[in-house]
Amino acid sequence: MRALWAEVQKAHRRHDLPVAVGIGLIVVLWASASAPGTADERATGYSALLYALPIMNAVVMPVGMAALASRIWDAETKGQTCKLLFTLQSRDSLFGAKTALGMLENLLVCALEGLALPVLGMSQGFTEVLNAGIFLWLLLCTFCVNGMLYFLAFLLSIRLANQVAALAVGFCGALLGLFAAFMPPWVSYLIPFGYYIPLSPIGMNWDADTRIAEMFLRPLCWPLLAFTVLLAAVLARLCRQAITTKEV
Amino acid sequence: MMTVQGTERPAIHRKGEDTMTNIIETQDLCKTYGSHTAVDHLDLQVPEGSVYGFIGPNGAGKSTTMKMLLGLIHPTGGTVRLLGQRMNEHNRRAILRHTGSLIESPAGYAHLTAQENLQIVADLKQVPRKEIDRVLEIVHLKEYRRRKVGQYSLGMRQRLGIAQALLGSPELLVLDEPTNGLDPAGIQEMRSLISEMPCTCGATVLISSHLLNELEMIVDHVGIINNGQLLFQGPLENLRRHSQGDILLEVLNPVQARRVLGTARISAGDGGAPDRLLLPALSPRLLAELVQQLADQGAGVVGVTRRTKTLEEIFLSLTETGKEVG
Repeated sequence: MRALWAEVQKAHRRHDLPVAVGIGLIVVLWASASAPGTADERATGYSALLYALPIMNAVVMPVGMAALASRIWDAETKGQTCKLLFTLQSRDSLFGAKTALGMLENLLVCALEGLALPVLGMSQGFTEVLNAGIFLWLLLCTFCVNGMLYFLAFLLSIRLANQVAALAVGFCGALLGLFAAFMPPWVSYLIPFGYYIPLSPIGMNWDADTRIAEMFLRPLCWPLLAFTVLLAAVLARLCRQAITTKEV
Repeated sequence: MMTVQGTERPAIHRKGEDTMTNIIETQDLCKTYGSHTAVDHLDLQVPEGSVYGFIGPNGAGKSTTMKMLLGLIHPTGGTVRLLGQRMNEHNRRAILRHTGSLIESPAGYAHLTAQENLQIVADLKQVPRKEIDRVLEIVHLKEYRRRKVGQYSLGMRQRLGIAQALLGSPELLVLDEPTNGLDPAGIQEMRSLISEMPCTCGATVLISSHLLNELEMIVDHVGIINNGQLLFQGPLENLRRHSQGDILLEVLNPVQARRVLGTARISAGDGGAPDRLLLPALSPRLLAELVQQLADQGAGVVGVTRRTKTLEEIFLSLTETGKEVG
């Protein structure tokens, strides 16, 4: 707890909270701008939003998580504080505290998204009932993929002094993830940055002749979620190793 | 009460011990990077209560040694004893809680104030926050405590680094090039700050610097390292004794003096004036005999001055020859 409190103090005036809120708000504002407007659309309003949110996440979150992770480590790089910190606390506790802070920020982003969905529904007058199970699945998937991307960016930040690298990888990852969504389904499994989309619980049939889109429930892809968690765990372990073996 | 040889500063003793203890002891400490040996079987001994100057040219292994003492890098071989305990991964943090360090450059979060930076360090060191006032007072930063560290000058950041190291009244301070980048006034301030540490804080100081003239004024013990090997270690007075300087001889009759010196097979150089001769370093007994001969044979000895070598001159002669001093 002492190490986490130290991280919270370091975040003071670093504007971590506004950045995390800002990331969540971008998605929320984008979602509200594309929220269904007509009576017919409002009848499937939540389904449409639950379908669109993973695509928005695939665009915003890789960059957002890279921004959060790199800010958390950049403070140590710029302040040249590792030499001091490694004499004051265990390297494991430093890793643990930074992970805890990062996951709290991730949770905040997900909570904002989760909160915004019913609020949007009420404000837009959706007539569809929100499927709580699907809603929670979406939040869980978003949190897990965010976490995996956080550790990837965190690893890059620890290994490379230039924090632009993590942001650049996040930016490229966002583009790749989005393009993968328009490729055959197996391609999207190869791009972890875009896992939000194959994990989405809502699918859409688009009839080009009638120009009618029909939402449908997809089976929950537990194996991919498990793989995402496994990938996050592997990346977290690599981050821990990078900190514990770091010579300063 | 014993005193550290060659210094007026009293040595600090642990309770129940009648001999001076070493606060740092390394045995066969080694660090290799591939085929390059950065530190080569180093046996460092830093007496408690001393200000120990660790000197050597760039790349000699000073910083590597200091980092190994603090567990920042792992030794390839050998052992480190700090505060009387052999350091390992299990007790490292417990031991380091009694130390303070400033390695290479001061650490500090630029977006936070000095007060906030020190609060983080105090919390991690488990030191009461009221300590912050004391250390800010020592380093003369009290009035700038609310200013962001990013707006600090390099000298102020160095002082903040010292303040961080002083939190918790550590028994040992490890300072690597603390005067780096400071202007003359800053160096002087840092010098007085460090030299007072054993008295004001009761701390032993291990300090490295390439500014040997500055170091000479504050240290009482010296370790000279080159190519990872310790060439000399001990009280500064001992080093001077082993590294005697030239002798300036002032006579009334230089011609007669040169004749006597030639007979004694002692080469005499130009002393900067016709009646001054420069002699190489001689043992006290030989010098006394020579002066006697010069006086007996009418050279008219007016003055004999033994020139003291500065630490810089000793250091250069040692690192050039690579010889160890006994």
